[in-house]
Amino acid sequence: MTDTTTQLHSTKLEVQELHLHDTVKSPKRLWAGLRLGDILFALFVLVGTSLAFVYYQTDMDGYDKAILIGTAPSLIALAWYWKPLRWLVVTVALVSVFALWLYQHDLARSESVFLLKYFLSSQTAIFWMSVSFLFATVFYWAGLSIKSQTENLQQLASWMVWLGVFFALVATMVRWHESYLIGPDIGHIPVSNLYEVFVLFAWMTALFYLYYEEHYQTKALGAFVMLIVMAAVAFLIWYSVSRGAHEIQPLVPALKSWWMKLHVPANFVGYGTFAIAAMVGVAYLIKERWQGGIMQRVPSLEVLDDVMYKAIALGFAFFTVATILGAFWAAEAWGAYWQWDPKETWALIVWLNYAAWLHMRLMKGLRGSVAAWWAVIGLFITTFAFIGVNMFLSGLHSYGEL
Amino acid sequence: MAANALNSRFIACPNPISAKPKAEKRLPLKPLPFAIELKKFIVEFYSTGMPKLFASEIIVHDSETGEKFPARIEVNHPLVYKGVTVYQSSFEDGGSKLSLSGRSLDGLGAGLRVEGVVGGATELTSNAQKLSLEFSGLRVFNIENFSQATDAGVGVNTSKLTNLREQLGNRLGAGHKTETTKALQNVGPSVSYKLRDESGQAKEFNNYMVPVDMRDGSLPVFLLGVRDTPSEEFRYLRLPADAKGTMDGFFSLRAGLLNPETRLKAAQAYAAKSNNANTPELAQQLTLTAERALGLFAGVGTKPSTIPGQVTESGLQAISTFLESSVPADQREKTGEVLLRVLNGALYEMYALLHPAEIEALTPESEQFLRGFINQALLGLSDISFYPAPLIFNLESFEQVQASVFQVAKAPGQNVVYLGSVLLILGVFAMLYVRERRLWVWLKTPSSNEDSLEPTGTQIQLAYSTNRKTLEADAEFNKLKADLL
Repeated sequence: MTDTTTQLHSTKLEVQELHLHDTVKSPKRLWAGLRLGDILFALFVLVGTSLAFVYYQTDMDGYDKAILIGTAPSLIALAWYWKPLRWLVVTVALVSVFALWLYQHDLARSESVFLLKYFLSSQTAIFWMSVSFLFATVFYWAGLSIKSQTENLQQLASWMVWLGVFFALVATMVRWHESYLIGPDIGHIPVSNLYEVFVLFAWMTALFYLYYEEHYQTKALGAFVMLIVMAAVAFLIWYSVSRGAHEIQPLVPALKSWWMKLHVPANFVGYGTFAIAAMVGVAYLIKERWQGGIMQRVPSLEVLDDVMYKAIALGFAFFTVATILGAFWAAEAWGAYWQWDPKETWALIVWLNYAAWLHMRLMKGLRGSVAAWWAVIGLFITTFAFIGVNMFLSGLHSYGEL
Repeated sequence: MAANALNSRFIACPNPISAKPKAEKRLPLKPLPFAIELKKFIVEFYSTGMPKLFASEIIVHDSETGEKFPARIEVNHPLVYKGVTVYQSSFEDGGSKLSLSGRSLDGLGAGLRVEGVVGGATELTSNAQKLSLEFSGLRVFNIENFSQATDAGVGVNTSKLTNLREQLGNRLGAGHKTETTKALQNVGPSVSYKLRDESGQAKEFNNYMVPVDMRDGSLPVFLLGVRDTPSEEFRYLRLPADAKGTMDGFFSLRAGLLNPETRLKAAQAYAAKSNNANTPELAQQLTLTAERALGLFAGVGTKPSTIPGQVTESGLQAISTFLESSVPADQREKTGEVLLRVLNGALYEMYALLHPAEIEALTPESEQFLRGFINQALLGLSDISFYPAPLIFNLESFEQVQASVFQVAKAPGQNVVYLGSVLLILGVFAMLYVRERRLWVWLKTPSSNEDSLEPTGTQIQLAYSTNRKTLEADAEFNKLKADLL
């Protein structure tokens, strides 16, 4: 970044220095403006991960330990970048540890201890997550519809999303612990089958949405984005009720690897942000045709367009990382980087689709309804890669069959 | 019942022939710098029957240095040695030794001993036909789910409300709950084989070594599976195990049923036992009925069958045909029940005739067992006529030999791949998040008008360019503009 010094001697105008990085909304240096809270948070994360390291080191191999150590600086950097994460991390950590303590290494206590039975056991927490997201969706729509109460309702909805994310993360941590309580050989991170990754999808999409909500200072998009989260929640409920999918299953040998901890979440950063982009695309297409009514309270087309780009850019970057990690894992487990397995082929299709979208935007300045339609169609392609492949095509990735 | 199969005695060919002559492809092969000796292949299962671990304990012999060392290869944990990576790929049967006993369906004749290895085959010849027996597989564990059998009759009288509460309760709480009660049980080894006739037609069989308790309230049964093509599911013939846990009891009944003399004796014994009034006329009539029922059941004098391989109708089907043709519709149900009772009683007497020693030592418990056995045997005797082979093979003993399949890869360019991937990731992030921005400031003194004495000031023109046109860029420019002016 260059400092531009301009001397204008023939006018009264005196501009000494322009710091480009100090301008509105441009990226700040991470350590600029750190406060006591940030330092305390960093200490909290460091102590927390150290304790986890000491406590669980017998269950981890070298790579798992490296991932755990890497988690600490990543969490600190993320939370310094986006401050509200500090509270989320701290409360999730404390409540999860409290739930683990309540278990006392006895799975049966999930039925007898009040707090576990009604709030903190994994399935119950997922239930509360679903309820929170449902209320959030209702409040967002009510906020769009009821003009006089827009701000209050949207603020309430926003809090409900935070609550849902909180419950989903607690559920994830507790389920992780529960799997080890079922049997030490069964324990694994809960990202191993379709049920577990839908929980991952729900909270990740919601959390990314919350980031954009703050970044763009608009809560109107929640009504659209939460629809896709609710679709995931509806699927979760159906999957649990009709297929009993909520039951923790042991891992097949091919999945028993530290790679899973990186490959799956990286993929879902992609899926989550692509979903956000598609729902914003829907809002764009509606607003383009119909400006009145509730769409008045939806931000301008330029803002929608910008959110779409940001979401797809982030998703594409992480999807690239996830695919590369997947190839490395495949090389280790199956002896080949790429075997044109249906999931691999469809991942490539998704990747190429968004690569083309970004290329058209960055090189040719693609904007407007074409970009929005494309983002919506992109979600269909992504959904097929995510669920359709498991339903209709069999292959090496047949872990979450319907 | 196939009459030609009845009279034929099969003998096994003493020299097993190889079933799979593998076409050898000549590929340019590069020798590995080491050899692998398999010490042990390990496969472990979870209690759910899902595979848990595939691992091979090996010894690596370095052919250059003569050095040797032990190693272990697992899925996700390949061995890397001298730039070569060895992966656990799969496993198969490495030629387990099998010892089978064959018995012909008519229940006559001593057991036929067949020895073989999985993947091999042997020839069976009789005066009527020639069959090839191909040993296709051995499974040492079979974990089956019997939940449907135990679930029946549970939860019928629950109201909708309690049901909903139950449903909710089943899904909340910890993630270990399941609403399908699983009754998993290892039912022991099974063997699969194919019987191929001279025209090359084969049927596949899958027989369990030990009797299986199906948990449906009946006695343990031998499960004998058969299918025509690999795409089908196996259909199982269920034959009850006798008190000694063998098929001998069943096949003695089978042989007796096919013998007219035994049928008559059994009918007489049944008549004698059931004739409480001791009248000769009634005894005569009962004997006739019982003999007729047994005869129908054995397939004597019944109409030709429509099922291929079966000459005349037999079993319960023959009885139902008889009822339809000779009994008025309104009496069929009742007559059918009577006939079945007679048949059951006569079979019991037949068993007593054939095993007098066992009957003498009968206790109340063993009598109850025997009644259950006869009930099961009746069904088995009815179904056996559909069995599409003249012989049944039972696994007597085996010696498992496992083979581990490895995949070997040499990837000298691995580091280049890693480097390329890192560069790709850096490139993508740089493309999206590194912004190139330029600001132009153009200062211009307006064409100075010499006539005017007042200073006219300076015109300033700003231009800003960035390779990512985002809202931030606009905001930035506006800020700059405001700051400058």
